[in-house]
Amino acid sequence: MKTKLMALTATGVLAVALAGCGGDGDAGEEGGPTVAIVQPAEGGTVAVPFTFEVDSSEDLGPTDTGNHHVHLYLDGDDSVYEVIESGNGEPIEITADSPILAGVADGEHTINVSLRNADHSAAGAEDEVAVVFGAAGSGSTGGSDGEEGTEDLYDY
Amino acid sequence: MTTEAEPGGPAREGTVVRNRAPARWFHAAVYLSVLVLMATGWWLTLGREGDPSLLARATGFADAEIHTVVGWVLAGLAVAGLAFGPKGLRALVVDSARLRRSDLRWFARWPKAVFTGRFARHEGRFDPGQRIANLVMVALLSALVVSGVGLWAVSGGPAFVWFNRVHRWSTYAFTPVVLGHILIAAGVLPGYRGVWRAMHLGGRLRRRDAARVWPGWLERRDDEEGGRRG
Repeated sequence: MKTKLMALTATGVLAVALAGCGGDGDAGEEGGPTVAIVQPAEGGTVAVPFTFEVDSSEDLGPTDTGNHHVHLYLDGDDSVYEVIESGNGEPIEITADSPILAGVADGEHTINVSLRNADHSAAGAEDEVAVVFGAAGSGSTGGSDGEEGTEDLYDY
Repeated sequence: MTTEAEPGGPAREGTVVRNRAPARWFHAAVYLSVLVLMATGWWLTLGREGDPSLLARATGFADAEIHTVVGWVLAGLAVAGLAFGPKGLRALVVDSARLRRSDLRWFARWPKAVFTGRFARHEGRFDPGQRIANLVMVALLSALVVSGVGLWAVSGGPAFVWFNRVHRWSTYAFTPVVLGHILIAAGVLPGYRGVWRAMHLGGRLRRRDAARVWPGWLERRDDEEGGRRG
C-alpha cells in the first residue's frame, strides 16, 4: 500500500512538473517567435511547381538539430503538410509530389504556415495567404487581379 | 492429462493457465500501443512526415500527433504498471535476471530446436532467450518512455538533441528485438507453436506446448497445484 501511494504521489509530482515546463509555445507573447509567408503574395495566382518563401524569427532545421521548422498546409487542414526545415527567407520550390497538392482542385485556396517546435508542437506563430491555384503560367505571381484559374493545376 | 482452470473460469482439458487476466490485458495494451508507436515513429523517421500514413488517414490526425498521444498512453501504462503491479514487474525482472550455467546448453541447442521443438531443459519461468529479451525490452522501453517525455518537455534546443538521440538509438535497438519477439510469440516457428495462447484469449496453453518450452515451470506449477488439492 505504501509503495502504491509513493508511486502515485511521484506520478502526480512528475505530471505537474512536466505540465509546467511543456506547452504549446508563446502565442500572443510580445517578442515571441514569428513566421510570415513572403511568397506567394496575398491574392496571387499559383501553378505547380510554385515558388514559396517563408520568413521566421527562428532558426529552421531538421528535428535532430533541436531547431524549429514550419508546417505548410492548405485550407486549414494541418493533417497533411509539407515540412520546411531550411531556406528561412529564401525561395524554395514546392513540386507536384508534395503531399499538400494531392487531390487539390483548381480555384481559390488558403496557404497556411505554422511555426513548430522541434517536437512538432505549435510554437505559437502562424500566417496564411489566399491564392488561386491553376492559373496559367509557372511559379507564383504576386497580387493577381483575381483571375479565376480554370486550367490544369499542374504546369508540366 | 490434468484439468486446469483459471480461478472462476471454466475448466479445459489438457490446458494450463500461464498468465492471469490482468497480465494478459496489460501485455495487450502495451503491445498495441507499441505497434502504433513503431508504425508512426518509423514513418516519421523515414522522412514521410506530413504525408499521412493509412493510420493518419483513418483517424484524421497527423502521424506526429498520433505518435505523441499514443506515447502518453504508453507512459501512462508504465506508471500504472509501477503503481498497481509492482510485484509482477519485480517478478518479471527477477525471473529474467537469473542465468544458470546449464542455460548455456539451452542456447547451444536453440537454433536447431526452433525448428524441431527439442529444446534443452531449463528451469526458469521464462526460457533463457526470453529472459534476455525481457530485460532488453524493459530497458529500451524505459529509455523510450523517458526520452519521449523529455522530448515533449523541452520541445527543442540542445537538451532536445540529446533526448532525440536516445529516442532514436533506442528505437534502432528495440525494433529488431521486438520483431524477434513477435516472430517467436506468434508461434510461426515450429518449436514455438501454440505459445501465443499464453498471452491471448483465456491464456490457456496446451500442456504439451508448455512442457516443450517451459518444462521446469510446468512441473513446479503442477506440484503447487497438487499440494493445494491434496
